[in-house]
Order: sequence, then structure tokens, then C-alpha cells
Amino acid sequence: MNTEIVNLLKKKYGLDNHDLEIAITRVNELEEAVKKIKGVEIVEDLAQSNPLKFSNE
Amino acid sequence: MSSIANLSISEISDLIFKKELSPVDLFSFYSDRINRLDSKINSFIEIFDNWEEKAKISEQEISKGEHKGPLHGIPIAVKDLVDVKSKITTAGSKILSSNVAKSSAEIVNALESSGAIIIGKTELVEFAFGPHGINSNSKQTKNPWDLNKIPGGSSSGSAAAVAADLVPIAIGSDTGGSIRMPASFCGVTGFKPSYNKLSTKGVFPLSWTLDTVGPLGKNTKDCSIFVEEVCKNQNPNDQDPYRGFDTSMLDNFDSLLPVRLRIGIPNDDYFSEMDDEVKKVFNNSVELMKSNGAEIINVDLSWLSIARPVNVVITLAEAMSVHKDYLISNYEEYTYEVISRLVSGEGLSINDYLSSLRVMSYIQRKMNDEFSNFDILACPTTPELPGLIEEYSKENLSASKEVVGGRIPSFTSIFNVTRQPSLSTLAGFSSTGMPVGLMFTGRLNKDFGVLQVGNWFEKINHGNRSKKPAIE
Repeated sequence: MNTEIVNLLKKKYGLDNHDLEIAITRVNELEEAVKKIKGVEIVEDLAQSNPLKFSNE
Repeated sequence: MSSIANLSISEISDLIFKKELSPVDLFSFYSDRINRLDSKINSFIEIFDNWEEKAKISEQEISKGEHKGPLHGIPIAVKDLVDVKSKITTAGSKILSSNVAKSSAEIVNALESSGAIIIGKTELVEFAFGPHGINSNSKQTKNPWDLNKIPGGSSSGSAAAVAADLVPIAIGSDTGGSIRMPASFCGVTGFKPSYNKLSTKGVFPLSWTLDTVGPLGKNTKDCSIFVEEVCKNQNPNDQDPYRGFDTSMLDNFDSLLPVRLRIGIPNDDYFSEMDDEVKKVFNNSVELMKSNGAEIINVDLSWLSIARPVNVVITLAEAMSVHKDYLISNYEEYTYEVISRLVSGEGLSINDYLSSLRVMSYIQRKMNDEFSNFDILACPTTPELPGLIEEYSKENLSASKEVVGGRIPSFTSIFNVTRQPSLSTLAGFSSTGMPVGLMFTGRLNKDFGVLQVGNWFEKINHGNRSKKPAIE
């Protein structure tokens, strides 16, 4: 769990403990989503349709 | 004459045209039902006080022979994130409780040009950000089939109002399934058109890359009339609404049954993960289609599961951008279920967002190729049945280690990323009497084909379509 984000949410939005717990499940969901997207290899496909070559990371 | 509640829009329209029924009769019928029954399900935020007056004007126009078409005099409810001139658009939030719209949304203008009567605003999840239909700011919309269950969201009020016969058709919006999920949970038909088919101008945004607007109605044909009339009447400045529509889409609508229709059924692990009750009803639907001449083609679309996280990231990144000012000045006024979701996006980077857009483009191209193997894709609308409202209390959500209801948009949200037309219609009922939806998805901009297949399925599935929720 990203403690930086938890601290930011506490400080910036003054979330109570319940709100914070709910937000943490959402942060976890989002981190999982980002991890899956970063795992996609599409450089070749993009190269076919775009003159620019992108690196995935 | 059958009860008005049992008539489709085309049947009502025929009777209006023949002057056997008038828009004032519709006002009397539906306003009486709303007055008697809406307190049980809380589907409406506001009923406009000029409804009766507009019904009288429509009646006069029709009696003078100025019949505008199949929606003339038909009452339509509007999800309360769609602007209606001089009325408040709350988007389901306290933050916008005095937000009076200066002009009407394009879809409202188009419907009014077709002669429809906009009768009021329906409840929704705050800022349309949730699949469950929970809004702790509101009286809480209930599922007409079981008042303890969630109606689905975010177009919760529109779906519940149609299911309870408080209005024949309603506007919803759909970014990850917000038309189709409540349609499924409430046992009505909901259609998400291809992206940019119907204008979203004047609709409070959730994610400009994924947002769509469309109808929730009693059946596919009613939804088709709605789409056709909006396409005819909306301002085509920035879009080509008729792309994919060869003629008036309702010509031969009923007579054209699919010949050798190839229906793709995803049978991979991602699309197979569903409750047993949903699976049973879905399998029955597949058998029904097969016995009525469709060719069933099992397909592995496991690669497509990546579209779900893509939807999550794009929606959240764009929602945070839309809400950035409110999040600074009004964060205490958000509901617990939405603030906790919005702020979770604080950790997103621009690279995460751009990567998601790149993957989205890849998914769209690959999906187009998949459709060479079948004509239409069918799967359950949601992998689970509606849960109890009480499961979504603040205490319950905070005690759960996983997102409660997080599986609900697993299938629907995929097709916002592909931007394809997608329809949910009633497939059958669970052993506890809850509706189960079947979702058809077609090629991008081939909306007519999806609506035709939905209409066909509803005809062969007529045995499941006579039940009504017992709320009287």
C-alpha cells in the first residue's frame, strides 16, 4: 500500500477513518489496474499505425 | 384497450395518431402512478409542473393534424445530469443543488423537436460515478423487484421508473455500464449507442473519452424509436449520427429476422466468471437463440479483459480533471461512496493515463478484427445479481478489503473502451425472482444491427417478458 497516498488523502481531504478505508480499497484497485496496463506490450502495433515509436515505459 | 402500462411506444403512438388516446390521457395515467407509487422506489428527483400544459398543447397539435412522429406526446424522464433549460441539474450532488441550466442538452432539444414531453428528472449515483445505484445524498432509489436490493447505477432512477411503469422511456448515460447495469437489475431494456452517436452536449461529464447517452425503455423497439428520433433531430455539427444507418432504421424492423446469425459467446476465464444463477439464465438464453436458428460460436476473448483496467484508469483520470475545483472547495459535500473513489486517483500519473489511451486504441483495432468471426457478441450484462442496499453502508464499505460491487461492471465497461453499441435486455429471472440481463454488442457504428438482434431476442423470449414487479 502506498503510504504516501494515504497520508496525502488524510491531509488534503481530511478523510475520516471510514472514508480512508474505502479510499484504500479504491487505491488498491487502481494500482492493480495500472500494473496490468503497464504489462501490455503494444509497441509493434503502434509502430504500424504511427510514425512515432513509443516505448512502453 | 389494454392498460397503457402494457403498451409499447409504437402502440401508444398509433393510438394517438388515430386519436383514440391523447397526451393528456398519458399525463393522467403516468402522473397518477407517480403520485401513488414513486414514494416506494424513489426514482424521481423532480416532476416538472408544466407537464399537463405541454400535454394539452400536444393534444391540440395532433387534433389539428400536426403529428410530428412516434414520440409526439410521449412522456420522457431525464437522468438528472442532463440539462433542461431553466431547471436545476444536480448530477445527484449537493454541490450542484442550485445549478440552473441556461439551455437544454442537445438530446433534450432533439427529443422536444420530435414532440416528446420531458416530464422530470430522475435519481442517479452522485456525478454518475458508481455501478450500484447508491446515493447517500438522496432518499435512495430502490429496485422495484425487491425494495431491499440495489437498482444498479448510475442511471438508477431512470431504470426503476421504467420498470415500475412510471414513465414509458427515460434518458440515461453510460461510461462503464450506467445504462445497461441498472437496465439489467431492474428488468428493462437499456441501449448504449456507439460513442458519439448521440450528442453528449449539455450532459455533466464523467469521462469525455467514454461517456455516451441513450435510452432505457420497456423494449428494444421503444429504444430504437428513441435513437432514430434523436438522430433525426439533433444538431449534427460535430458528428455523423447516421453513419451505419442505411435508411430509416425502423423500416422492416420487425420483419427482418436474422438469417444464419452468428453469435459469438466468450467462453474464456474472464467472461466465464459469474454467479451460478446468472450462468443458468444465460445458458438458457443461448439455447433459446440456438433453437431459433442462430449459429453459436464460442470465442476466447481473454485478451479483452485488459479493457476493464483501461476503463478504470481513464474514467478516474478524467473525472479528477472534471472535479479538480470542487475537490478543493467542496470536498466535504461529496458522498462517502464517491469522494473515496475520486481521491484514490491522486496517485495516477500522466503516463498512466496516456498508456491507457494507447491500449484503448490497440483494443479497438483488435476488437474490429475479432468481429470477422461472428456478427454479434452475447454475454450476461452483469456477472452477479443485485445485492442488498444495506451492504453499501459506509461502515460496510470501510470494513471490506475489496471494492463492494466491484464486479458489477466487469462486462459492460469493456464496451465503453471499444466504443461499440451495446444493449441489455431481460433474459430471465433468478430463483429469487430477480431479473437477469443479456447483453448484445455489435460492431462500432452498426447500432441498427444490435437493436434488430435485441428485438428478435425479445420476440423469441416473450415467455419471460410478461412478469411485472409487484409494487402496487
